[in-house]
Amino acid sequence: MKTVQVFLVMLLVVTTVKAQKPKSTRNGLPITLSLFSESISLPTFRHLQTGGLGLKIGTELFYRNRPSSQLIQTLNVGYYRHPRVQAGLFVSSEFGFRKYVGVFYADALVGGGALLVRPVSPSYTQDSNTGEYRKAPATQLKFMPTINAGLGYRFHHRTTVFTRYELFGEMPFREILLPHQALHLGARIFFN
Amino acid sequence: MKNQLIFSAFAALLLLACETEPVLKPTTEPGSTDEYANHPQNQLYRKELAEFRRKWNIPGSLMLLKRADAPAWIGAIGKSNLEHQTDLRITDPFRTGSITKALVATVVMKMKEEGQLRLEDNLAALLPEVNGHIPDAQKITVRNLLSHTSGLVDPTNDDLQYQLDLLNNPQRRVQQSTDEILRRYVYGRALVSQPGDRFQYSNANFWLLGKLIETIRGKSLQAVLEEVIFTPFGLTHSYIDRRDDRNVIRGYNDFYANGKLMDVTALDRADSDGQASGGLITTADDLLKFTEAFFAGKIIRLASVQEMMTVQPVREGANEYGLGLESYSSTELGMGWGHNGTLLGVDANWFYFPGKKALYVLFNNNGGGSDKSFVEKWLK
Repeated sequence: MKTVQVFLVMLLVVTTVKAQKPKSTRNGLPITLSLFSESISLPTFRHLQTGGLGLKIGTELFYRNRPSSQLIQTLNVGYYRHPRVQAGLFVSSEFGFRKYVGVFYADALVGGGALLVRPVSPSYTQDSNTGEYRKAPATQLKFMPTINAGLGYRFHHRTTVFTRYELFGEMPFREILLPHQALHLGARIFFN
Repeated sequence: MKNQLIFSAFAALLLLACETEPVLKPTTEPGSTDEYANHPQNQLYRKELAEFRRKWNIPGSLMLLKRADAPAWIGAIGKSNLEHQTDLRITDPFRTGSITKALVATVVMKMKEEGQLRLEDNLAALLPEVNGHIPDAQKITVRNLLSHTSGLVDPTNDDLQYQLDLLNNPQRRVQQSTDEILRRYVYGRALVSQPGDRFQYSNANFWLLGKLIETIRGKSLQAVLEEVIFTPFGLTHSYIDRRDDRNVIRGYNDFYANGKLMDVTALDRADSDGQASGGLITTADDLLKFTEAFFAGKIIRLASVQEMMTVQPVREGANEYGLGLESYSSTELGMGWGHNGTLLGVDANWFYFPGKKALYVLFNNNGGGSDKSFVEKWLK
């Protein structure tokens, strides 16, 4: 339960952050929303496998915001459920660059976050005094490195739709990192 | 602030609402784990087995010891199922992992004796469907497959994508046939070394041998094992076909390297059940019956047993493997023959020392490994 409490505190910190720099746009903060398909895998398009489904919600702040390019800082929260394997809840932040060509754009982002994982299989700990085993807390807090690249289309009212390929990991893991890949489909919306 | 609290609580609920896989309770009634109480060494063996189990963080350990001058002893300490705190019993069935290979190799030797194949027959001739998919299939012999000298890749241990696919969807892996696994992870891959050049352990060798047995005999591997070994020699609690058997001892592993043991039975099932490389489920008593029949030349001829216990020559490097049998050199007991069996949640050993007529079977349901050298002093 302690890991859940730590995670909730982190979540509150992220959701209450008042950034001085970078800045939002004159039109306020955009909201990005994407649905994604997640799987435990090395980066591959050749052997794409089904895994879980997730939802990611975030916003973007800008270190540089020009008509043809942007330097971005994202703040995100997300959730995925991978049936019969695990569920994950995360907060993350990414830094990246976006280049516009007409109504299209491409971007690449790198960052990290905290991932609260709940495997479906139970875990147990050995009592050092008695040697007996008792059930361990189901949730685990992990570092979540992430790297992703996307392509988007901007409508005249500045709403964009995008697709994004993301690699993220669970750390620590027995072999350093447990890799996941995710394919996102989403939209960025300005509300004013 | 109120909205943020509601959002945070909702997010936590999403996570906590994630279903956990139910762990079924074994159907067998709890029973005594000390049926060898009258054995002269019972107390000593149980005490040391308990210490070993605790030292290596093993939920349950099961051991069989048989010396030439003493009756067999079987003991079980700990739990077979932590969710239900079920006591491990000496009669509990367990996954043997690669110990399976010894029985599958025995069937192949039986087929050789019956003239259904020769050890020098090549894969291309015996399984024409692999032509074009496995390089140099015409050079890979049955002997190469049995001795892990074919040069075939080993997806189980060396292919990260194979391992991640298993983690990603163990249920799907359970449903895959051997042909599908071969197509996805073996066919089209270059050999690691030329056939006969060196020892290169690969489960793919036994996937192909399982396929070969089924093709030649026209029956499932389960049916052939029943015919050759299980039924004639009274192995009444052994099988290799995929079953939903809640009484099989569950497997555990420090999967996230965080000091906690996760139940990895679903992964072990996906990785081994039904496979000629590691799918045998059996009991200590059944392994004793197999050992006595096998080394006495009752299943296959003694000459065939001897051939299995002969380290196969290789052109490069060292080799300690026979035909479906591993050698184990002990300073106390001389040369032993048998096999290790390792899955994520299984650490099993089965070794017979012909010089001493001594046998040990050790099963642990933590696949993390342990030092078992203490066994040797009990058998000398």
